[in-house]
Amino acid sequence: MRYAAAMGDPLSPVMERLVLFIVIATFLTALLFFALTLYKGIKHLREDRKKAKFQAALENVLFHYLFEEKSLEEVLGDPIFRAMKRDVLFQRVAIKAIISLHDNYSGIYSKKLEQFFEVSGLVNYSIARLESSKWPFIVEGVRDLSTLNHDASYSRIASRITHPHELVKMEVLLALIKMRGIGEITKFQKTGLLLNDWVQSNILYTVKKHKIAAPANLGIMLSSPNKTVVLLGVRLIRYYQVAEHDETLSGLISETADAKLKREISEVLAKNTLVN
Amino acid sequence: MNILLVEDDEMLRRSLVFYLKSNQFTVEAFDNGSDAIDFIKTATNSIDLVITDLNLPFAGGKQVLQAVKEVKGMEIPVIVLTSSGVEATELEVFDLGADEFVTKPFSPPVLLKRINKLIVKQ
Repeated sequence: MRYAAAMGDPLSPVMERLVLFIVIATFLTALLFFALTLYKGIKHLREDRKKAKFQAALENVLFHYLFEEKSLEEVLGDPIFRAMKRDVLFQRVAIKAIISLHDNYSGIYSKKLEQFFEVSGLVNYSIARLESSKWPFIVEGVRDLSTLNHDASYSRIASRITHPHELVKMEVLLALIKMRGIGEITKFQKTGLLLNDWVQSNILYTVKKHKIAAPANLGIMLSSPNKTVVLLGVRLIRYYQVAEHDETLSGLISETADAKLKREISEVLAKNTLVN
Repeated sequence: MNILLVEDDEMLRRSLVFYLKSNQFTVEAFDNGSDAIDFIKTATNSIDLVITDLNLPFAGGKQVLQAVKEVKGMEIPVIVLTSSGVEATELEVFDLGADEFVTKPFSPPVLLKRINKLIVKQ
C-alpha cells in the first residue's frame, strides 16, 4: 500500500474522505476559535465602555458628595445614578472605587465613604455576596463589608467562620480583626482553628496596615491549648514590642517542646532585653 | 497656580484632580513617573508645584523628585505622597529635596494646607 502511494497512486476513497474530513474539521475549529475570540473581544470592549460610563457617573455623584458639602440625599437623587445603580456591573465598579478611596482618605472622608456605601444601597450587593453559596463570592462580600466597616454585618460575617473553605475562614478572621480588633482572636483560642504561617502573616499584615492597637488581654493567647494561637500571641507581642509578658514567655520556653515556638520566644525575649 | 500630580491609583488621582480643580488650581495629572519626567523636562515653566506618589510604574517618585530638583534656575516645591510610614523612607525623601511628606491615608484639606504653605513660602 505504502509502496503504491509512494508511486503516485490515487488515495483510496476511504482515505480521501478521511483527509477531507480532517481538513474541514481543522477549518471549522479555526473558524470557531476565531469567532469566539472575536466575540470575547467585542464583549470585553463593550464591558470596558460600560465601565467607563459607570465610573464617570459614579464620580459625578461621589466627588460632589465628598468634596462639595452636598448632602447624601441630594446626590443620591441624581436620576442617572438611580438608573445605573440597579446594574450589577455598576455596583461592582462603584464598590471597588469606594474601597480604593477609603484606603487613601482618612477622617471624615472615610466615614463619608462608609455612609455612602450603606445609604446608597450598594451594601446590599455585598450582603448578597456574603450570603452566596460560592466561596469566592463569600470572600468578596466579607472583604467589602469589613473594609467599609459595615458594623451591622458583623454577626453575619462571624457566622461564616465555620465555612469548610480555608480562604473563607481566613477572610472572616481578618474581617473580625479589622472590625473589632485583635482581641477577636482570643474567641477562638479554645477551638481547633488552625492558624498556619500563611494565615498568621495575613493577620500581622492586617494589623500593620490598619494600625490595629494592641489589646489589653494579649497575654491570654499564651495560655491557649491551641499552639497556633500561642505562636500568633508571641508574634504579636514581638510586633507590639510589649515587655510585660516576658515572665510568661520565659516559663513557656522551658515548658514547650515545640522548636519553632522556642526559637520565636527566645527572639522576642532577646529583643525585649535589648530594648529595655 | 499649576500643579503637576503624579499618582498611579486611578481613583485617588481622579478624585484629587477634582478636589484641586474645585479649589481653583490647574492640574496636569500622570499615572506614571516616566511621562511625568518627560513633562517636567518640556514644560518646566508651567509647573508651580509637584505632588508625587513614591511608588510609581516605569520611574518612581524619587526619580520624579530628582528631575524636579535638577531644573535649573527654578525652585519648584514637591510634596511626596506615600503609604509607607517608615521613618527611613521619610528621611531619604527629605534628603532628596522633598518639601513636604504626606502619608496615606490622609485628609484632602491637610494636603491643601501644605500646598498653600508652600505657595506662601514661594
